[in-house]
Amino acid sequence: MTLRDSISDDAAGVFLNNDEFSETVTYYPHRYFGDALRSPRSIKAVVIREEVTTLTENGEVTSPLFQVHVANDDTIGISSVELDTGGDQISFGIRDGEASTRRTIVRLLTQDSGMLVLECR
Amino acid sequence: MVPVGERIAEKVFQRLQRLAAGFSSNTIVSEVIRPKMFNEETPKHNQIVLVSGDLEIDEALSHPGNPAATAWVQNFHIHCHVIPSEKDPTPVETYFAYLLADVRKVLTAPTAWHNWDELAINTVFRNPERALSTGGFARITLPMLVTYRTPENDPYTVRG
Repeated sequence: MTLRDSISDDAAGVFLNNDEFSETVTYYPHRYFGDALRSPRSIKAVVIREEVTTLTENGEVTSPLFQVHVANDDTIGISSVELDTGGDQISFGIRDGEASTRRTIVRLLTQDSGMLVLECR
Repeated sequence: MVPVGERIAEKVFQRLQRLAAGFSSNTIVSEVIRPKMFNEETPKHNQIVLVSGDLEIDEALSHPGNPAATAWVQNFHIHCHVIPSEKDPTPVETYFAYLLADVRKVLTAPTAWHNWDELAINTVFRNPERALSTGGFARITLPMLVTYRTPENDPYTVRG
């Protein structure tokens, strides 16, 4: 097994373990005009619930900020190829234990062959 | 009773909401919102956020009396969010152009649009302001100044 394969395996088996720090969320792929319909799917993710931050430079509008870690995989996570930061959303509770709401993926912060780190607002 | 300034804000909000109801065939606005203290709304493509900004007194339009009349200038910020698909070849500026045009068109649709059903004296638009696109989405803001008068001792009543 190569190191790349180990990283991918660890992403799914170690970091994205619901008995540890991950939770089950729902990925809602954005459908661009003319593309085939992609259905939402349940995936595992580590959701880091950051503090509320401003959405505008003058601080008029605030929004919660989330860092979401998912497997770089088009079945158990979100693959870097399919990701569309112009419309894809993930559903989870704003606070731990709350009902899920859909949050827009606004940026891909970091990526490697095993995992993607997404910023959701 | 509702303060005059808030009544004007509600009317601005109602007119903007027509964009989410199919007012324009050029722009399909996803939603129009007014942010709360803990804003739970998520950014969306073609989303409009209405914010009541600074409120200032216009001394030149205020006048003495018993009671005196105070002229207020409410600065509204109409934020337009654009988050196009990564596959979308449309320039962001094109989305901005249509959004700004349709926002102005829907707000100025009524004949005496500037007085907000006789609540205000005048309304003017200021230069659109584009925000840096570092937050994962693009935004352009249309400032709109609404001038209205109330008695010095009663912000709930319109004063001509």
